[in-house]
Amino acid sequence: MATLRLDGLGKSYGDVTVVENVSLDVADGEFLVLLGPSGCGKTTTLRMIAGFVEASAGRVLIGARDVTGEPPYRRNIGLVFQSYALFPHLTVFENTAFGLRRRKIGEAEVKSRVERALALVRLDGLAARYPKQLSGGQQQRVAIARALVIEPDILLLDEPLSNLDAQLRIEVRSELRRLQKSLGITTIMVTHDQEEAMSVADRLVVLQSGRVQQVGSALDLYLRPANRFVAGFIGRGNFLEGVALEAGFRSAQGTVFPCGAPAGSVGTLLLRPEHVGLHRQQGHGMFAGRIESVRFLASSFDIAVVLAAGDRLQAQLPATPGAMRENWQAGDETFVAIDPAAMTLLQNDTGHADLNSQNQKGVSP
Amino acid sequence: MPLLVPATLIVLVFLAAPLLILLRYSFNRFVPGQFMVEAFTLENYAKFFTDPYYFAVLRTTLLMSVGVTLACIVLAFPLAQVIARASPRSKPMLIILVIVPLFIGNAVRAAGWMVAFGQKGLVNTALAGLGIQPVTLMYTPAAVFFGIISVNLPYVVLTLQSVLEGIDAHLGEASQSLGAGRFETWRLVTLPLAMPGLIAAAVLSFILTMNAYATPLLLGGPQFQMMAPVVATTILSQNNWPFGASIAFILMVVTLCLTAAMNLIVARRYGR
Ligand SMILES: Nc1ncnc2c1ncn2[C@@H]1O[C@H](COP(=O)(O)OP(=O)(O)OP(=O)(O)O)[C@@H](O)[C@H]1O
Ligand SMILES: [Mg+2]
Repeated sequence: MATLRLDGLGKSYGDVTVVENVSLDVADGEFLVLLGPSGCGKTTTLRMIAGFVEASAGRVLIGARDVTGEPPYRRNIGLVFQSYALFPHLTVFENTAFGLRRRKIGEAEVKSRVERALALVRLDGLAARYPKQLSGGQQQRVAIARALVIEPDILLLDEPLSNLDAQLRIEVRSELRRLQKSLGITTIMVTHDQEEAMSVADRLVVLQSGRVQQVGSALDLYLRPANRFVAGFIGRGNFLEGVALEAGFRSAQGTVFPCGAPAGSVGTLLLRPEHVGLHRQQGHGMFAGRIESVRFLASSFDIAVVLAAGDRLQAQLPATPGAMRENWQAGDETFVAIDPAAMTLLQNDTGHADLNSQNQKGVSP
Repeated sequence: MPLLVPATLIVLVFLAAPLLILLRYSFNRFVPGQFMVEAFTLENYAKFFTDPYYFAVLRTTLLMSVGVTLACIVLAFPLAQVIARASPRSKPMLIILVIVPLFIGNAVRAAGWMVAFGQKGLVNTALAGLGIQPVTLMYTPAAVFFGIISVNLPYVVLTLQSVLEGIDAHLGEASQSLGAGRFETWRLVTLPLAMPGLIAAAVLSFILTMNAYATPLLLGGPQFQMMAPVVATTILSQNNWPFGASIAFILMVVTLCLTAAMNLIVARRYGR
């Protein structure tokens, strides 16, 4: 158990840079999640920490120990792969004991530690089986037990749940979180699933094109996204281009939203679909509009609205009995209410032109 | 099922039938001057096991097969590993380089070795250029040994490579992350997982060597005898079909038994 520090970590293949200047401090016992779209460099970063990819720049420190030049087998890092990577020729017991035996630990202690680790992941009784005699979820838990039993300084998980079905994924992830907290082990997990990330992480690191976009708790990232990319990646958003005036933010279509922003700045207004309210009657500060389409998604309604000036907004209404009674239909007149506190102005000068081209149109998933 | 009929017929007519006929021949009696006399005698088999000359031939063949097979595995493993891990761009090139020697027949290749190994051959010319006394290479067991290795190596490399390629690279990384060094990872993970391929490659090399014909004949010279050339000489030069047939059967049975034994031992050792 230890802290982990990444100091200006970078990786290039030829002249292609896949990870650039990643600096992070992970606290002792913290659960950090690396989140980002496919190909953004998550696995590469993780493999640099584990020692399987040589860093082109920067350092990796575990506690006070600089391990940048150390081979993987001397780093004392537990690793869990997406493919589990269990040794097919060894039993569950021998898989789990593998790391202990490399540490020349006495047979009696190996036995008791393996048994404890298997009990921890609720696999006691399956020790004599071979990996191919286990279900995917059980295999994954063996992989976790195998990584934990060596009491690593750091636990690294690369999309550990992506081979499990949806139901099991939710089960295993809460178990993982419980284990991590009870053992207090510093953990970094990689995923591209934002819900999974938010459900286990103490802090999230959003990566794009090999660069850290923002680090923070799920709530931080949701409430104060550093840029449009993060806003679109953590939760969903309506993004309106425009300029900030004395009166508020004026969208390109001409609607003025009363958000307090420094006048004159050009930017993007972020409106979360779940913060867009729909009413039958006009009220103070509401915008007139028309319902364009309605989709029912069991727990909510996804409703597209066109404002009088032409701005398109997505609204997400919880599927309450009230919303059911309201029974919005395409073509209905509506009045849109948005709390000014829920309007976030994103500056356009994030320095990443590519960020803003990604979600140009309306709502991002 | 009817689809299996042609294949079954071909096997019966071209493989099983000649074998059965040969088996029958091996019990006939050889009378010089006559082709062979119908009989049912074990005297051909008795002759093989009582005559020290033939027993020595069998021993030489076995020693050569075991030696060549061990050498091939040791030489081929690193090469196979390099190919298995090569980038997708260089891999086809490497595989072709391994296959190219297979285009050259054994006899042609052995003739090539004769040119290289002869008293005035390439090797000795080179040595003379360096002021070193010429060495006798032709017609030695060593010449046969290296000659057969060069024949078998491509098969062994390709067999091993295909198995090594099937081993998930993450297993090696998992092993290293758990504290095993490179050699330990190889010994504890790569080797056991490659074992089925290693057995297949060893069996292949063993069988090829037990039955080697052209290489021992051309590189071993008159003094050096292995089983397959002896079978041919007995039948073709001495016209002794019954004895030749019995030697052929002994060769086949010994090869089959040892191959099966090797499979059993390794299977038990690695518990699968
Ligand atoms: N050996 C390599 N040579 C060249 N480029 C590579 C190599 N390995 C990875 N890359 C590139 O680096 C980038 C980041 O890859 P990485 O595997 O880290 O992505 P990722 O974030 O894990 O994506 P995913 O979610 O799909 O697993 C990708 O564009 C990939 O093509
Ligand atoms: Mg990845």
